[in-house]
Amino acid sequence: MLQDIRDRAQGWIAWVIVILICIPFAMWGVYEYLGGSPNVPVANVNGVELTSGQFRQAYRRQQTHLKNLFGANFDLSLLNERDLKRGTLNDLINGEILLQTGLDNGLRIGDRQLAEAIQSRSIFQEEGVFSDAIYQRWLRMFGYSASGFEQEYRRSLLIEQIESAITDTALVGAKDVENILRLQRQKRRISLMTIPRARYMGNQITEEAIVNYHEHNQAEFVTPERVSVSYLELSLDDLPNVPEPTEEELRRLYDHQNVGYVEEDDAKSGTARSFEAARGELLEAFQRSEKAQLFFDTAEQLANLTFENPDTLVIASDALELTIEETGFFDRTGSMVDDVPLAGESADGPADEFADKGDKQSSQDAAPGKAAITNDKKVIALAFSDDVLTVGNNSDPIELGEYHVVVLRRKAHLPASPQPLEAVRDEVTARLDIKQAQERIVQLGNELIEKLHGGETPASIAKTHELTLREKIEIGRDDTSEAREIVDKVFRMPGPESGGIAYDGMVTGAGDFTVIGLEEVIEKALTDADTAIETATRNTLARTYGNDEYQAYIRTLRVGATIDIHEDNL
Amino acid sequence: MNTYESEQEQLEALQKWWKENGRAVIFGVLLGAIAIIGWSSWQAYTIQQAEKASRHYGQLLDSAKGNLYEKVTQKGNTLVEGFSNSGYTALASLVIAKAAFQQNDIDKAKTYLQLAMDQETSGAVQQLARLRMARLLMDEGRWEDAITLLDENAGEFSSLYEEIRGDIFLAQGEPAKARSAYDQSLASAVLLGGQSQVRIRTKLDDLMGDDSKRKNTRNMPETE
Repeated sequence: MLQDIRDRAQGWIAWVIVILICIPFAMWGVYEYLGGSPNVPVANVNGVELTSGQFRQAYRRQQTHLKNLFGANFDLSLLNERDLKRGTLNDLINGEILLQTGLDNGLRIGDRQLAEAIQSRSIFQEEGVFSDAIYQRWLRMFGYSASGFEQEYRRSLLIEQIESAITDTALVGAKDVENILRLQRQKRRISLMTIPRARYMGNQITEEAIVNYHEHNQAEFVTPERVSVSYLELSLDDLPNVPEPTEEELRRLYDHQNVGYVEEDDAKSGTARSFEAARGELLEAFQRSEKAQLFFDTAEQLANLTFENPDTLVIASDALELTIEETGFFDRTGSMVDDVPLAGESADGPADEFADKGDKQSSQDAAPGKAAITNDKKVIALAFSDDVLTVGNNSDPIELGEYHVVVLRRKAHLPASPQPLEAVRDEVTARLDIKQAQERIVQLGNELIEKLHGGETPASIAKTHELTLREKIEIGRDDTSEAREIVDKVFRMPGPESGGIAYDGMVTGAGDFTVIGLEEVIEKALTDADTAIETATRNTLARTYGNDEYQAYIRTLRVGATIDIHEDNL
Repeated sequence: MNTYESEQEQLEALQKWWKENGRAVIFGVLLGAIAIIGWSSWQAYTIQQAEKASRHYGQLLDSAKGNLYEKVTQKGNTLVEGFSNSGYTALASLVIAKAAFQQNDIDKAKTYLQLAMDQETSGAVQQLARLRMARLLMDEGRWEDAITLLDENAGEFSSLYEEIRGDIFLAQGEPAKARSAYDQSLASAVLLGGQSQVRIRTKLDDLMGDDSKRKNTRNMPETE
């Protein structure tokens, strides 16, 4: 029996089988070696992995969506990439949870339903009929396989089944609409009386008060954190001229570009310019391209040398014959500060570097004709970046413009430090003056409000105190005719008792005191003429409720799910 | 030759064993086959039922979008009665409740919301249906019943639950209680959309200072 098996196993069929079995083992994992980005998990939802491939696809879709929303020229880099990616991942996770919940609850999209749904999409139709050719073309265009697309479409149909059941079905009662409309359409009639702060400025400020204020508010009187950097700058102009090309090289270039040198006058006849006539231009073009090449090579060396020797610029400087230049101190806004650090204030940069260079920095402003590098936002951001400021490494190369890069490192760092009284005396005095003026107008304002409650009229008070009074102003909640803060205040005031006026006051952003008299809260009852606005409000409310309820629904599902997020793999 | 003899013996032993146990083996295999076939047909049947329910549900959604009320009712009945165990019942109930509400058939709307509230399989749908039921009850002025529903676990819906509670207190003429409910609602409203935050804020602002202590403010006004 066994002998039989053994005898037959020598035949060619057996070999074919063995080879067939070998192939999968031999090729196992080849895909990973052939590149293709590895499909690492970005999240795990209840044991189901979401892969980076899925994520990339979703992210691309998100970008296309944004472009559609804001127009093709929309610059995606204006958005925070990290937030965008997080948002996409979040949506992906929500989708997975909804899908899992749906499947658990027995929801299912059958093949027939899927086919019907795809065929009814107008983008796949020609003259109202589904066209397989269009469908296939569309799939190719967006890089989908038919089965891949169908699987994804099935998934989204299922999620949509849940979504529509919640977002489109919120209920809004008549009383709810009435209440919202009452609030939205409410108007309030007010009077405004302003006590200008300017009138009470110019107070005598005692020395004691100044000293006292400075002492108690040290935190507000500090010099901003500043840094100075050493840098290597590389631009096309700094590079040595390339050697003159030989005649032969020029001639080859001429032959190559011959077509381009047809003189305008001769354009019709089509005669080409002679080599001699084009020589000047050729030379220039030759040098330009050689020099650009030289620039890129040097820039690459600069990047490598400064990266490989993160503690110093000297090596790159020597190798590339670039001078190390230095800036003075600048703060996070990029404004230069002239004052040399005061004695006793120690810069926390490496002692040697700081001591060596002494305080040369004040003379190290930009070379004539060149904008100071400290005007560049990227330079400032990198100079204050953790890697440069705290760790003390060389920065990455910063591209300041075409053929213009800079690599910088920290020279010295001045942390925020308290300012002495003398330096800020004027500011302290001004602040105290404002403070006193403020106190006086608040005091006066409150006294006036007291009097108004006592029965005096706004008009008489305005006259006595020479204040501007505006009466009978009618404002709505969203009106912009008055300052936002005043409108907000007015709509947070209690309504007046019948026949009376409610008073309150506030210091506005401009620093003046405004006395507000609320004369009437006007609420118009709904009439038959308001049916349209009622319907519109009901629909808006239903949409808002629906969306919020759907989000709460998803959050509830998330609470019950086990979710691991691998944000590093994004 | 020994091998042959023993093979012969083995064969005989096997035949003997088969005579004794053959029936049992055949019966066992048959039983297994039936179980497998039965199981896979059951699977196929459930899938088929689920797909059928799904198609009905799709048509229900289409009818609801097209405001075809009669069709909604008809499809809804088919689903809820014919596929009562399917996962579509809860979702369909929400859709039918909305359609009924739009037709002013409040009782029917309530019946279907109650059906959704009874679906044990999905706690999230239950919480959602309870919220909607509370809104209906509030609109009818059945405040106590609404509050009873709102007192149950609100979970992630708490901001919306508290807003309705505030609306009810306001309708009952209890501004202080309403304010505290709106306050709570607003505290967890960060997760809601911007429009809802503004809406709840407005409701709260309107009640600001609506008690005697706040009237005639004489203390230091707020600065910028």
